[in-house]
Amino acid sequence: MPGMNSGLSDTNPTLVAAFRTALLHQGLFIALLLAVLALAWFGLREWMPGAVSARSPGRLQARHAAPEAAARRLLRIGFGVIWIFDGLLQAQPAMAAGLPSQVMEPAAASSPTWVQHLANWAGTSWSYHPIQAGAAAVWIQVGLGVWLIAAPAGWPSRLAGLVSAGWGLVVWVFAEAFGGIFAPGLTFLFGAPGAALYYCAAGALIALPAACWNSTRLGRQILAGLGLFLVGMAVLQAWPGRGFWQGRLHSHPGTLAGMAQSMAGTPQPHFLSALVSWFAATDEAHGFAVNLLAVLALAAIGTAMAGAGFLPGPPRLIRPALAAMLVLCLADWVLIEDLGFLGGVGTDPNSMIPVALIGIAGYLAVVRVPAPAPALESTATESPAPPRRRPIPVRLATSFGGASLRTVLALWAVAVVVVGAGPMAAAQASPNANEILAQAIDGNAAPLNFAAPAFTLTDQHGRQVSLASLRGKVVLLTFLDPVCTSDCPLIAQEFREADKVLGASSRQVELVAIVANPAYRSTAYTRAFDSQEGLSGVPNWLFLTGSVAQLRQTWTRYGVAAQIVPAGGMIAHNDLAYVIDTGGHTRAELNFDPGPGTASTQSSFAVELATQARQVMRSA
Amino acid sequence: MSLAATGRARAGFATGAGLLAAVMAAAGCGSTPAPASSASSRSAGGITAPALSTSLAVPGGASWAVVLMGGSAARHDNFWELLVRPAGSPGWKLATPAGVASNGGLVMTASGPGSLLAGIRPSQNLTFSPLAATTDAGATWSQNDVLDAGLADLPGALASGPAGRLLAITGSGDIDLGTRGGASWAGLTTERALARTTAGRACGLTALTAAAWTPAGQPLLAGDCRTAGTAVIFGLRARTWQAAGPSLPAALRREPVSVIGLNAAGRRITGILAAGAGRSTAVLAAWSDDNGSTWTMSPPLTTGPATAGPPSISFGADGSASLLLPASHAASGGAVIGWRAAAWQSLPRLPAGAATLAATAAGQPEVLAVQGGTLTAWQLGGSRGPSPWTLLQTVPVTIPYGSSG
Repeated sequence: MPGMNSGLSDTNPTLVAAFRTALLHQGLFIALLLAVLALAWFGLREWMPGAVSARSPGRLQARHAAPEAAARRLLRIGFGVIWIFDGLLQAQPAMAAGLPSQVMEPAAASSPTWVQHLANWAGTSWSYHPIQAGAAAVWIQVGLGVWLIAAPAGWPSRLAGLVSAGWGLVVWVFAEAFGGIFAPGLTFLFGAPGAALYYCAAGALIALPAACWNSTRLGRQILAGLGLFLVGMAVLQAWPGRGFWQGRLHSHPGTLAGMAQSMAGTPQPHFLSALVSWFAATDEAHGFAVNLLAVLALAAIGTAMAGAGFLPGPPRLIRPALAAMLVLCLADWVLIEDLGFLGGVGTDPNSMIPVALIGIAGYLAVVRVPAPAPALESTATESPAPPRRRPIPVRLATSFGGASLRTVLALWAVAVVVVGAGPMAAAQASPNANEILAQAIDGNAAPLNFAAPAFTLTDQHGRQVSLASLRGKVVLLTFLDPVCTSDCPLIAQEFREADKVLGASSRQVELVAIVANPAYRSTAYTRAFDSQEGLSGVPNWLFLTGSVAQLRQTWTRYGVAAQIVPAGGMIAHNDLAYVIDTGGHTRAELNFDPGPGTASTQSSFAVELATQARQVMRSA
Repeated sequence: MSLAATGRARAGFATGAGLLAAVMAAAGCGSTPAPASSASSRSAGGITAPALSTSLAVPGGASWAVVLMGGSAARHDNFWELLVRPAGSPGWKLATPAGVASNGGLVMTASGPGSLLAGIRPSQNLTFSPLAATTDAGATWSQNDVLDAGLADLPGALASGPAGRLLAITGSGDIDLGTRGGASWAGLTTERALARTTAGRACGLTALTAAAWTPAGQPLLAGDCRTAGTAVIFGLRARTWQAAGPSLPAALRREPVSVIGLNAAGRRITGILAAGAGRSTAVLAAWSDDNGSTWTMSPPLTTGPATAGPPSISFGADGSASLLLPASHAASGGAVIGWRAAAWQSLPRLPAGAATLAATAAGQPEVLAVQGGTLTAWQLGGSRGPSPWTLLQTVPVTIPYGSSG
């Protein structure tokens, strides 16, 4: 999938450092926000006690409101904790640069092309702004988790459920490639249909009106749905020809043993790796028995749950079925999924914990239906009419002061989500990548200030061009081999893109390339190269050449080495770019090796070049 | 169970059955896609195009060869090299024009004694074909001209004609006419346009395979035909492309035919034809010395299926031709035929790594073999060992591994 990721190592020190700095800054801001909210809340309660207590009939109502259903509370707190955990996992150093290549790309690799295109689009978007994207994932998920936990009831809680379902859907589609349901080898044991889909389901359940939890109907529906799903997974698991019945297949480990072996190779504590390796060996030796056990377990649990869901009357088999399901989930989570989050780029604990939570919630929703709320006795002293025509700020202040601590925390959690999403949304508004990628590949530009060496060469149209003739414009200068097969076409595209990034300012800039090939240097070649790179129609583009002596002199003056490599090799030359101001002074030198040449790195180099040009223009 | 409960249970079971069906369908979903349909029997068993490795002996005595060296599994770490044995010289030497990566291939055409035009096929991000010309057997190169398109993957994609004119077959099926030795180029025709001509429709043209010029300065284009019993060579006469190829012997009129090689040496034009598919694949030589008006044919050489790869075809300065088949072919591995000879001369088993056969002034073929970065030249006869081939020369070539990024 070309272009999906930046092509940089996921442990690139520049990106890791920038990611840590971004998290630290945003974390400090979030902590400050919490402190401000807390101070304001306490302060208002101290300074306006009368107004606050008069405003808070809600507290009285809250005491007498219907208790939250145990099932809902389990989902809310359970998935809240999971979201927080997932958010913290997103803060691993390799996440910013590594998510597209280490998570998205492998997830979509076996899926149809249209799924890969979706993942490619998302991965490319991420790789354009890896720091903002990485930080966004951390704070959105941490904020979501706190929001779910802090808001127990009412519309804030339901909204938290809805947002949780929405974010889960985003993760399921783009990061999990629809949980692999369109790829071969679908199995409950490996996490199908994707952990994030369970998050969606939980979020949707939390978003339901409270009244839905006041009867056993919802619980039965949950159990019925989960039961049918598990029965379906049992059928899939039993399906022949998918490699699960054999421990070894064509002298290789079977599907399940192979996955377990692969998970055992993930960096992790030795005892865990040994446990997973043991399971892999066991499955290799007894593949039929292991799969039979899995099939029977899924079928039995699923049938029992479906029966509890569909059939009226007390669900007699639900407890043993739930117990069996928890055992199966635990075993799978440890022995096959290998806890799901190890290795440095794990994003979540995989699917067994979420599905177990949903199963337990279904059970609780059937056996522990909340009692209805008692009717309130209205008294004039407890519900005084609010004063009329108070200014809005006062009303807001008294509302805030009268809110519960949970409400304040929920408000703060929403702010955390916004802090996460805001910078990424702003970054996405620009079609250009962040400069950080270019800096991660080649370091920062070196500031300079000396007279640029003169040259007089011939442009692609046969006209003489000297550096002096370009006075009054900022010159972005590089050296390109017109018959290069790798770097130079990429650098040319970066120059072309820099011209677009500059927009109207490009009228004050001249993009100049000088031939870096002593053999293929005629204007026929500079024109052929321009045509190849779509530069023929760029009005401020010059591709200069000259005699070998002229070129060698210019190379020497600008520190460029162009060496003939024998026996069919390209010319070897260093990749440099210079920024020359309107007065003919060199103001910056950039190491311009294009690196992996992905869409995001090309855009980043273009932005870097344009930024340097703008800086020089401003300082003129 | 109440009626309402029964109804809900039935509805639930129906929903559940639907879900189960969906899950069972998912068992087939995402299954490994059906394998791509196998190539047509024609291309699976027939020879439709030659290898890029080739050799050319020119009037005046110089011999040139193009071979692939490097031995790497990675395309960008294998390099096509040009070698020359100048007239009167006993050995081969490296002559690859420097300054451009040759990973994509090298195509050559002789333009006179000691003169050669080499076209570099583009690779990676390059889309056009640099040209390099020499008049001193590769000692120096002039590299001012360019073909603004990628040359086709054919050893006969470039052809030199009288008065500095050139023909080039591009990878997109265009045929460009070059003048002034390649300083300027213009479109002459296209593969599609040729397929629509009377000769093209009769042939069922599927691809162009080689270009050449008659001594009279008429462009010739050879092709691969879908229609059985037709060997197509297009000649431009009175601004019209007409059939100018040989008539096939009766035994081959039921076979599809591809003209896989075409070369003009002085007045002599030699064509190499491949007919049939599978075990009945045969190669024939065709000769003309009247600008393609009439042709004589050689007896067929049975080569067997072309499943091991395309053959390398080489031409001598006297109109002779050589054929080198990849190692697993049923035939001996190599054969040569002289100008209007009565029969092909099969060669004994060739040395390991044989890449192409080179004609010599004495008429005996030489084998050029490649192992990684070493080229060896072998001659038939004079050997004291079990192999009939005698090692003549070893040429170590410094391969610029990793230089192509």
